[in-house]
Amino acid sequence: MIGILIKKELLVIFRNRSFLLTALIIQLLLFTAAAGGYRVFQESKAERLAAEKEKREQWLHQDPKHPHIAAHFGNFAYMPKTGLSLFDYGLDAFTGTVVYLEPHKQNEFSFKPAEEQNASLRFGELSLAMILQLLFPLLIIFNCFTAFSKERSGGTIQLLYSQGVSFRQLYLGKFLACCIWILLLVLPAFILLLLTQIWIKSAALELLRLLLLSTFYLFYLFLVAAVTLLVSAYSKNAKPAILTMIGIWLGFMVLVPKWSASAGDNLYPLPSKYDFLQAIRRDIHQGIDGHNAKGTRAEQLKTQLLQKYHVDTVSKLPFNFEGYVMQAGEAYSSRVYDKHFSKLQSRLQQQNQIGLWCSLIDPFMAIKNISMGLCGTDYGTHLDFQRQAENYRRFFVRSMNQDMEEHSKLGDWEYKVKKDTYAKIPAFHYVQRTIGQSLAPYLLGFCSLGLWLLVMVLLVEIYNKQSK
Amino acid sequence: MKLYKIIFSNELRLMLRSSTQMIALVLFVCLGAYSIYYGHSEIRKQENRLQGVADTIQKSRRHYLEAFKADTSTAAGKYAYESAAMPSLARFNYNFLAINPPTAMAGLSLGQRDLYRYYYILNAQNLYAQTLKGDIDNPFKLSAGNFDLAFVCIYLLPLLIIALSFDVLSAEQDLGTLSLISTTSFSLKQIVAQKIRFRCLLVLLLVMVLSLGAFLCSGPGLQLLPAVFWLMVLFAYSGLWFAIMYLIISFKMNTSLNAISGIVVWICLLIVVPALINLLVANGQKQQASSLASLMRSRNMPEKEDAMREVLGDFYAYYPALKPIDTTKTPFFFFQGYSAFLMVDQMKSKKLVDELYRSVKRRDQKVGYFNLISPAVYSQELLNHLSGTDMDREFQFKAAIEKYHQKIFWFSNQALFGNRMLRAKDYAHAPRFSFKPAPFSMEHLLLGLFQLSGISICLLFWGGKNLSVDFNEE
Repeated sequence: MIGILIKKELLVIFRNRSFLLTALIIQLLLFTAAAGGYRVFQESKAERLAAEKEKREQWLHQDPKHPHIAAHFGNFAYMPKTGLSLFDYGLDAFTGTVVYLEPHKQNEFSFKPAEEQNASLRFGELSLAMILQLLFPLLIIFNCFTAFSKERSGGTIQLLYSQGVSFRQLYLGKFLACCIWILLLVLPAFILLLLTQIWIKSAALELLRLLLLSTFYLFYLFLVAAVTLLVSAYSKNAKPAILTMIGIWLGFMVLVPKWSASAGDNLYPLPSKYDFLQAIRRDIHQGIDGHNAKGTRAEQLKTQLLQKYHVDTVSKLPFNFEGYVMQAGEAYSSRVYDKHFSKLQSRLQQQNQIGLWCSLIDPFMAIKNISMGLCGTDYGTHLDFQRQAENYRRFFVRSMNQDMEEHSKLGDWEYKVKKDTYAKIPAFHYVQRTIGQSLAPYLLGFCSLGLWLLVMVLLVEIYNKQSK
Repeated sequence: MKLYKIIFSNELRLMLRSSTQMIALVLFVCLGAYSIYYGHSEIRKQENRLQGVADTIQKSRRHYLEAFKADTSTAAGKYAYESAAMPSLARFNYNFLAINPPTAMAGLSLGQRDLYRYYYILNAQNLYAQTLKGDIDNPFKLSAGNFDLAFVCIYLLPLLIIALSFDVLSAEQDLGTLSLISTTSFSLKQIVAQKIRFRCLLVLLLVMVLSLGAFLCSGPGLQLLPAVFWLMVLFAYSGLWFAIMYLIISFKMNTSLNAISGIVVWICLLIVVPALINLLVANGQKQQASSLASLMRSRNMPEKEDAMREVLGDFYAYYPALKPIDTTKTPFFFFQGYSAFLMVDQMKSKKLVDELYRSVKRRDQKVGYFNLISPAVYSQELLNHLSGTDMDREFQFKAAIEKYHQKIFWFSNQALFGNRMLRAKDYAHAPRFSFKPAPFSMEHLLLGLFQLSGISICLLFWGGKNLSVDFNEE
């Protein structure tokens, strides 16, 4: 019986000209988004690689200079775009793309693409993810909201019931038919994505992410179809059904995400950069000043070292005391930065937590987060990149300070590193997170999808009992 | 006239009875009220932050002035005095504050204000090394945007208009009263127009009430002209949406199709068209500034006499009046060399930054060509422009900062190149930042209003033509 129902539903939908037209429009949009995303990805990648190369050359070809001065010349870490970022741009426009790495300071990311745009970017950018998250559900809503009201007004529902078809069967038939045409329409998007990934020679890991993405998106869209069909069943006629679904769409996709972000910001305000840096400066001031080997804390360090090496003056130490103080100062400032940055991160986490909790009831937010996580365009990936860049900063500053400590003499600021020392510092390379790490922050999102599925099954059963 | 009155009172009665429409109205008012609160609380936060930074800067300035009276026989007093009097130290330690204060209407449309830095703390170091570094913010929040009054009016007002007018004609069809109406001496076009007029008045009243509420919260700094233009832009935008609905209704489709068509147009104008323009025209994700990263680098140069003399030579070519007749090295020689290096380097960097600004403006101009097909983005731009939260204001702020930085540079370097110490008198005359942004462009606004109204008139004309054809004739 269900097979017949599915066949009938598919026949009706594929005979519907307005459905075919909207489906065609959606396909065109998907193609445009894929082509545009691919172009943006390639251009951004080329620009990033050129900038990275240029900065690396500058680092390698700087004049021989004192290692600490060379460290002050600094390095840059450019945020790479993942292959899947052409599917979902996520937060890329609002996270900076490059960070300047220098001694004593942990800088913020600079150059947000959104800064170079007027207000239009705030309206969103066409991407495959945006179409599947926002527009595709509307296609489903518009084609399913009359599913039961039409049967009711046409009197066919009673006819079906009298033939022994239960509501559960009818619902399942309609739902599976929906799933089939959704699958048919969504498939080209993922084929396009797969082709672009092959084209850009994406790693095998990306293909696994792609597989997961397609699974989660299909689940999300099936859920939208299930809700629409249920609303249609519970509504007396088509008008309340469409109004309810538009209301749900608007609430979940426009209002809740915006509200959760505003509420987070209001409840847990961020410090100003000035206050933040002042607090760091205050703490660092209490510690060791790397540039001042005669400071109080440096004097304490000196006493300890003299005792440890059984010598009476720092010039008799087996290393350059100034270099040692420089690195001790760096290590101290790193501890201060760690303390303040971890405070800042937990504040940001608190802000975003509201959005994560909202994703428990809002499947749109759930899929949005999961999608960004899998595509490497979420805040978690940005944080991870920030962490790796900071580790690299500490590594190259430590290496330069070590060179000073080991090769120069006390008070010798004329010492210069050899040119090949620069090459010993490898270029920064970002290691992408594993799938598990990418998805871990969004467990609530998975719960949301599961929860909605459970509620749907329950409501169908309740209606089924009522209709008997 | 009598029929018009009857339609008005009847529509009012029907609306009061319709729970859907009443819910939509109440929800809209509540969201509008929340948006006013949100916008103003955001601006208050920014103002508090600005005040806090200004107070700290002021406090540190007082310390500098007091340092001139310090007892230099003590180590601490000497250190304090030297920090204030030595131009080579003061140039990088004495801070100046440049702020972009919010306009009275900024809370109504926060625009790009959350994205751009609205204050900078500057010294005589290279300007771009100080301004290009990023700020602390939450990308998730930036991406979600602001829940301000402009958002409610641009995004949600059209939905209210759709909810109020999608069944203007089809409800009569469904109830079977259309044939009754046809028997009156008034044409279908006149009746539909009158029904739309009723809803239009209601919406304009709502917009007016919400805007007036927001104006009242804006405080005494509010100017009349921008406020009037704010209302005019919103009226024109609402008018456009009523014209769209009038056109949809004129096709005499059933209730569901009208609602769907309205929503489809909303999706196209609010989501699809802007998103397409951003992708295809603006290259939204494409980063133009990353090549400027080098400008953030700490500026260092070889501390050798030859290198110093070379850069000073370049510097004196720009400022010949400062070139000393006696070329013997003064105690300030190396400091002068570094300052000269900074200035020459800044001039080179400025060319790169100016080129970036030009290309950003070009891209903005390109997007502007599509205003006619993207009225929502256009209206948002106009509201941002009126509220002083658009990119144009940001460029003006950046230009003012560049000018101010020149003064900051010369504050300490005037003494440095004059081979003298700074005095308390110099600090009393330290440059202050004054930012007088250009008033909003009347031409830009009138063009916007003309375009929005032009589209509306065309749509109304088309809709009217459709409605002139009788049901029976069809």
